[in-house]
Amino acid sequence: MSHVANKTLESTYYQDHQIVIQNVSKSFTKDGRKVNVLENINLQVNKGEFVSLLGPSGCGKSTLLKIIGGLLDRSSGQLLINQENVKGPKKNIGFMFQKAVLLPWRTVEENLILPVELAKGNLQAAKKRVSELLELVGLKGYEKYYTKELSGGMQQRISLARTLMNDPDILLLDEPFGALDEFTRETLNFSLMDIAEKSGKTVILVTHNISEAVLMSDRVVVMGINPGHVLDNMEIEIPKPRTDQVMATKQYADYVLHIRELLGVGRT
Amino acid sequence: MRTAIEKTIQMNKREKPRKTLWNKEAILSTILLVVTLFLWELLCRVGVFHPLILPAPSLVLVATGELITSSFFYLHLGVTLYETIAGFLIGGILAIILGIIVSANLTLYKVLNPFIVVFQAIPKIALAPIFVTWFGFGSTAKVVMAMTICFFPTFVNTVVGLKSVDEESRLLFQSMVARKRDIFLKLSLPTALPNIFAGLKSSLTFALIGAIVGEFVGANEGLGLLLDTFNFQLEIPKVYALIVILSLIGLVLYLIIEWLDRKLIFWGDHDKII
Repeated sequence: MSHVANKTLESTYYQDHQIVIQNVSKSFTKDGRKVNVLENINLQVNKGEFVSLLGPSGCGKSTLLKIIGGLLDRSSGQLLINQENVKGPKKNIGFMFQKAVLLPWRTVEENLILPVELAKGNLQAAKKRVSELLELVGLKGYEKYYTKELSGGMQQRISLARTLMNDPDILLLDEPFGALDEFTRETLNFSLMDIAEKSGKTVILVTHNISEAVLMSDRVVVMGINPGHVLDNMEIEIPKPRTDQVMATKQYADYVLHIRELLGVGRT
Repeated sequence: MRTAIEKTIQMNKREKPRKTLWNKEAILSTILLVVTLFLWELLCRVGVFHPLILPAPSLVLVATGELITSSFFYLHLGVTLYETIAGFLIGGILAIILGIIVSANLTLYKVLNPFIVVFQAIPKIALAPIFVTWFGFGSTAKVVMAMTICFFPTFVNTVVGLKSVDEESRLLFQSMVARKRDIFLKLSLPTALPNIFAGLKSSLTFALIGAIVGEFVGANEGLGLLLDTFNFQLEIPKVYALIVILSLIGLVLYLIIEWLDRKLIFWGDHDKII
C-alpha cells in the first residue's frame, strides 16, 4: 500500500520538486525488538538544489540517503523522484560513499569506466569522457595509475569523477570526504561546490560537519536522534558563488550558532 | 595543486631501499647451513651415528647422484608428479566451483555446512587404504587421495574470500544498477582471488603429501613406493636422497604457484617468501 504512489502527488501537487519524501519511516527488528531509525520524514528537494542532511551519529541521515537512492526499502511513506515512485536504484542517481571504493585491480581509467560497463553503455565515448572528468577533479593524466599509488584525497577525487561518469541528475553523497584530513576536505568541498554550480545537478550531502553544511548548501536539514526526525529545514540565504570569505560574515555565524543550539552543542 | 599531487605520487613510487640478495640475514642463514652440514658429516665420520640411523651428508649426496642418473628414477618421478598435479588440479577446480555454488546460495550453504565440517574433521590420510581398495594399486587411487586432501583448503578459502566483499562495494555496484552476473565477475571473484590463491598454495603442498601417502599404502610405481622399497632394503642414504628430492619438488611446485599468484594478483600485498 505504502509503495503505491498517490495520484495527486504524482501529477499536480509537487511538480516543482524533483524529490518528494512524504511520511517516510524506517524501522528494523534487532534481537526481537523493533527499532525506529526514521520517523515521519517529510522533505522536498528542488531540481538543482544543494541540500545537506546534518545531524549526529544515529540520526538516520545515511539511512535516509540510502532510501532516496533506492538502496534500502522504506518501511512506510512515499518517495517520488521525478514524479516516479522509487522502487530500487536508478541510473540517473550517482551515489558516493565515505570510502572511495575503487577496485584495486583496475586502473583509474578502468575504474571510471565501470559505471558505463555495468550500464552496457558506449565504452569508446566513455574513454573520451575519462580525461575530461579527470581534468575536472584536478587529476589530469592519471588514467593508468592504480589505486594503491594514490593518496586518500586523490582516491576520493576519482570516486567523485566515477559518480559523474554516467552524468546523473542527482548526486547522493554520504560523507564523501569524512575520512580525509581537514585541508584536503576543504579543497574537495570547494571543487564539489564548483561542479554542482556549473552542472546544475541536484545534490544531497550527508554530513556531521556544521560549518561545511552551511557553507555549501542552499538548504540544511537538521536531524535529531531516537528516532531520526527533522529538527529544522532551513534555507541558507547567503548568495552564491560562495568563497571562504563567507565564513567571516555574521550571517554565516548566525546560521552556525542556530544549528549548534538546535543540536545542543557547546556550553550552555 | 597538480604539482603537489605529483610530488606525493613520486614519493609513493620511490623505491624502497633495495634489498641485496646477500644481506646480513642471508649470509648468517648460509653459515648456519654449512656449519650444520659440517657437524653432521663430522659426527657420522667419527662414528657417533651408525650409517643406518643417520648417513653422512656426503653419502646422501652420492646416493642422490646415483638416483638422478638412473633411468628408473624418472619413471617413478613422472608418476608421482602426475598424481600430485592431477589431484591438485581436479581437487582445486572442484573446490573453487563448489565454493562458488555454496556461496551463491545461503540455504544450500546452511544445509551442507554440517557435512563440510565433519568431512573436514576426517584425517584424510586415513582414507588412503579405502581408496586403494576402491581404485587398486594404480595411480588413480593416489590422484583421488591427493584430490581429497587438497580439496578443503581451497574450498574454505574460496567461501571466505567470496564472503569478504565489503558492504560499501556491494552498495556501490547496486547503486550502479549492476546485474548479479556483473557483481560476481567484476567484484566478488576478483575480491576473492587472493584468498583462493592462498588456499591453492596450501592445497598444492597437501596434494604431494596425498600422493606419497597413497603410494605408501599400496602402489606399483612412484617415489613413495621407491622410498618404501629402499627403506626395506636398508639403502638408507637413498631414502634420505629421496626425501631431499621430494622436498625440492615441493619447493619448486610452491615457487611456481607463488609466481603465478604474484603475476595474477598484482594488486595484493605479498610477503617475501624466502
